[in-house]
Amino acid sequence: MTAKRPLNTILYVEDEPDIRAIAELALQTIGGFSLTSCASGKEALAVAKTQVPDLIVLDVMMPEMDGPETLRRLREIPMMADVPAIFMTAKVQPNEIAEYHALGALDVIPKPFDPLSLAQRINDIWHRA
Amino acid sequence: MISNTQQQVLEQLQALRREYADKLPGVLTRLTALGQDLERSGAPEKLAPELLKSLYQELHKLAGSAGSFGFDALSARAREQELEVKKWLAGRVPTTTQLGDFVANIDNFSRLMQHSSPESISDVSVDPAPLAASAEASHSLIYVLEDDQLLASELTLALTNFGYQVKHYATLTAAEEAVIEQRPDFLVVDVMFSGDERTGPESIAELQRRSGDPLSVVFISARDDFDAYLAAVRAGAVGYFVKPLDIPQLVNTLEAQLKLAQGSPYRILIVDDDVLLSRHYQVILEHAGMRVELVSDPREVLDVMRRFHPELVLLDLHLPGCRGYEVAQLIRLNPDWLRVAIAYLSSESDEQAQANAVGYGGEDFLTKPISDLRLVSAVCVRAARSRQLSEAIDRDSLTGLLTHARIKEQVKVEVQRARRTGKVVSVAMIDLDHFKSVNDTYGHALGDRVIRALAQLLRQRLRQTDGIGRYGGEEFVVILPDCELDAAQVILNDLRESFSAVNFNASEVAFNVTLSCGVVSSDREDDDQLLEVADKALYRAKAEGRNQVCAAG
Repeated sequence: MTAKRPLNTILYVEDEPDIRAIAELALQTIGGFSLTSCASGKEALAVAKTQVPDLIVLDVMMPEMDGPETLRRLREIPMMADVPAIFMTAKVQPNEIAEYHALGALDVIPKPFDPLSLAQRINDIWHRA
Repeated sequence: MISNTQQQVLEQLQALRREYADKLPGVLTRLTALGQDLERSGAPEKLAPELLKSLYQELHKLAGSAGSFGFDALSARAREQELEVKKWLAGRVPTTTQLGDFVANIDNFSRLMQHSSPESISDVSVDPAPLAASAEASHSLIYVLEDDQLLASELTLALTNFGYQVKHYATLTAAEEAVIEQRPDFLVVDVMFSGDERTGPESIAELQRRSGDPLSVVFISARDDFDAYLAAVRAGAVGYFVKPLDIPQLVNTLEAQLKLAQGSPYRILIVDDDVLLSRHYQVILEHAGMRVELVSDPREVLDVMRRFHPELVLLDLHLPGCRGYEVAQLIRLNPDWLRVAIAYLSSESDEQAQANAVGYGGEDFLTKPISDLRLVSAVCVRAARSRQLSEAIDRDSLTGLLTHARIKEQVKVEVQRARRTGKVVSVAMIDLDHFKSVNDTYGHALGDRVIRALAQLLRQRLRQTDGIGRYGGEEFVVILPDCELDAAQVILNDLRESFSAVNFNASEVAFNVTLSCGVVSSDREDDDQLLEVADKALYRAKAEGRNQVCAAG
């Protein structure tokens, strides 16, 4: 395992308030990460202008601007160009995973997720990358 | 001891699950409405794309979220339907049967929630009319196969009073057709049918052979011998009751089974430095519906235990830097983890070494290599046992309700939550009327039966999120979070009436028992003394003639 700086700040984008609440608990309280959560891609774009996170976590299916589109637009912001990203989605089929990897995602976390181990899962992906 | 923060996290998690559970009925109603629109939209090739799209989105959301809040079965089913709609969206035209099945499946979603959700009477506000309707929708379906009309109506009445939906069949043939037509959640089957050559177990065994999923069944019989039990077991029985029937005991079995079918996935921790192999185990076990975490460095075990709360730990004997049994002992040093099952999974073939390891902390030994099938069954059995034990520790042995200490604690937790969220929690104290005379007249065994019956009724009729405890001999405490005083009174009065209708039988004599109840809600100054205040209201209910619910003024 390579020594890597610890994961600290996460920009999280999810349109569903229920899932956002449980992910906030999982990542902030259990995982101890500093989390900025956004309800839409638009919100995420606004936030990204002022702060650069260590990692972006995005839901794939969102109204108006979906996850891949949000990531593409985030990547247009120079400071955000190299920030790694993880997608979360309820449909994970092998060909789709490849698609998300092609978009530059580190990994895909399937939904539903286990709130108690979500932080660990993200940490593992972070350190594996 | 669980640290405070961990306790808080678990509480918060619980609270989030509740909030989600509160919203679920709305989501399901929306889905059902969409399903009906679909049915109405006529020919399969003319399905409106917008309608399909909204259905797809609702199902997709449900599939993705329900499982994160512990509704795993619901998640899985929503996902199946989501994939179905996806095909139609992609242009495939469904057959009329497929459409019909689809709408029926959506309708069935709400039944999946019945034991893991708050879909029951106390969910509803003060208006008692929709109350009955919403409770109806979530009830488990039970078939009673019994040719003795008297026993059949007694069973039907009792089970209906406990909130189940019951259908009665007097012949095996009629019942077989019904099972094929609509699968029940549970079957209660007599062994002997007069005028039929076949026995109940023979008929059920045949149905089991034809059905993919095993049917849950209990048998009732006058016989108490080995061959009778054996025939029942071979027909897949999960319970066997000898006449005269102890109905509350039967309901107990029924409920435990239904709950097991709805339970959250088992949590398994594998400690093994062979990463490749443990990954393989992980895949196999996850495929069987469990949640699995891997640890390759034993030094991480404590951290992962605190975070993941496994029910079963699988330990390799040979670990880097220490021995597997040392890790087992280390886990056992923490009194909170006494309830976690520990099994060794190792290629150690020396019997003496195996025996030694089992003597230290772990319970038993699984030898590598192990077939996938055996791994799954071995892990399942042990995790189930561990969960059973763990639940038993916090629960009163007669009723399965929370113990005195746990329910008092629970009242505090709920009052604090109510303060935090600005909602109202109601607390009720319930006491059986003239219980001493029941004991004196009919004996303690029957007294116990009455107590168990009330416990069952409370469990069946209240929400999963409500707290129910046995406070003392014949005294019970009920906590209703997010429930105003007048709504609580409606619910408790409904319970009081249902209970007074339950018939108990003592050698030829049938009798009924009533209850009195005092209830209070947290929207008052002295909300740290709810139990005391509820007790005073209970006292008033007794003084004013019993068989009534009194609210604290």
